[in-house]
Amino acid sequence: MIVTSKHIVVFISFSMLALFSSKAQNSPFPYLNLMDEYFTNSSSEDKSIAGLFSEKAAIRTITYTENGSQELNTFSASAFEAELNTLRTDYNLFQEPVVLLSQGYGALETFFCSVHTRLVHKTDGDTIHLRSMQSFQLIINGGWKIHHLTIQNENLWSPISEQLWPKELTHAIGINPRTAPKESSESFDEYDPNKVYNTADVDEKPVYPGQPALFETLLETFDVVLSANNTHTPFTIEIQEDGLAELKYVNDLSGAQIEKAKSFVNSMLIWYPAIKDKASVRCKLIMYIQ
Amino acid sequence: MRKLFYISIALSLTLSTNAQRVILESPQDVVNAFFKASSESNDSSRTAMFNAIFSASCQVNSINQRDSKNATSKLGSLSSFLEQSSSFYDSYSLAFDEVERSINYYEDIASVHSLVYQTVTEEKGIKTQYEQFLWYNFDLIYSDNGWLITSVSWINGIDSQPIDDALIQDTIWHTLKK
Repeated sequence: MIVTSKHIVVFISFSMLALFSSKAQNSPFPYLNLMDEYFTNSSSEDKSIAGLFSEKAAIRTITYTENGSQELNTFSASAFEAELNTLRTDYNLFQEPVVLLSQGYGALETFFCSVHTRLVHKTDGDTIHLRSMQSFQLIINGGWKIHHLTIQNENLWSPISEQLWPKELTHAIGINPRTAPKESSESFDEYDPNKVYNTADVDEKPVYPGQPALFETLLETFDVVLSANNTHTPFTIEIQEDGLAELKYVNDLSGAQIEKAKSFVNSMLIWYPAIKDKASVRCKLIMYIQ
Repeated sequence: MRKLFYISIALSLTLSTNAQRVILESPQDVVNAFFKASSESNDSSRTAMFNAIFSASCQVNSINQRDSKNATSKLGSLSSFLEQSSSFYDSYSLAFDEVERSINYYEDIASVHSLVYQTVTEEKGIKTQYEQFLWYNFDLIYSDNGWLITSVSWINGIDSQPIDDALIQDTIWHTLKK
């Protein structure tokens, strides 16, 4: 965990804070020990969270139905714990804070934080990922206690901002938290802008613009064909990502053939470039000139 | 200072059971309404104003920070708080000058921080004035087309620690387990 505290940056982790928990009130951030305990205990079946709240604490949850309607519930600490235990009948529950915005003075501390929750089904292992925003009020009342907690699950129509869900912290759990991130079963080559592909390796070959007769006329004008035969010599052209044609391999051509091939290429319109993995790529074509 | 604190927490209001809710469309409006209600000298007006901006089962929490190590708090519902402080406005008037405010919010929840300069004036006698800084934290929810306070906590400033510290926000990044 990184604590940016009054212009001082301190690197610390919740697990390190746990080391101080036995003498929490002596640690430099005793209210962080409480937050640590809350998230640790709420992620464990055999640990209670009720004792972390003040006697008159209230927990409010705002969730949304599939049609977007708001559902608001208010719980005491023990009732909230009972709710979590009901959920644990079918799921293992894990929750961690992501970004915590903290303000405090004396015996009052507040946290406004984004939280990642995982619900792992006990039978089939299916995992549900949830994002929520949670607002905590902490007070000193026989030690630091949570006095008020409001939990709002993410509204699909209003994603949590990147400031509260930074990629640097959350890339490991995927971009879309509503569903478990899955590795693609299809492997695909990464797009290489410098690679020149053969027509067999692209998803769509380059296409000359206009009616087919236009290209046929161009071929006839310069005595060029697309299939090998005994009277024509091979050469290659390259269709760039932007559709421009360039003359490439001409080592088998005579001087006169090279000049004719140059004129052939210079007479071309701009092609529709080849497509691979939804991107325009460079592609070479073999042609034959007389 | 101690006397001043007890004065400040003794917001004497009586709970009206049939107050009409005022629809306030921003958290800022609710906080403005809170301070306006806190300054209102008329009992029935003040009570109605408070009940219009608090949710059901809301919480009110005042903290007396006596020094850097000692503090006491009074926690309870709005109704219990009002019952305990019923005679206050007969003896004192309150004024609030807000110095600074900040807000964190997402969708239907908001957390508002407000630093205010409070002036308490005796209504009778030599009209002695007491002044202090207070930091308020409001938790609000948006429900039924308007914002409501679900919990408000406030704490007084002490000489040994600048209360401006309350408005400095720390940002904590927590590395997630994979």
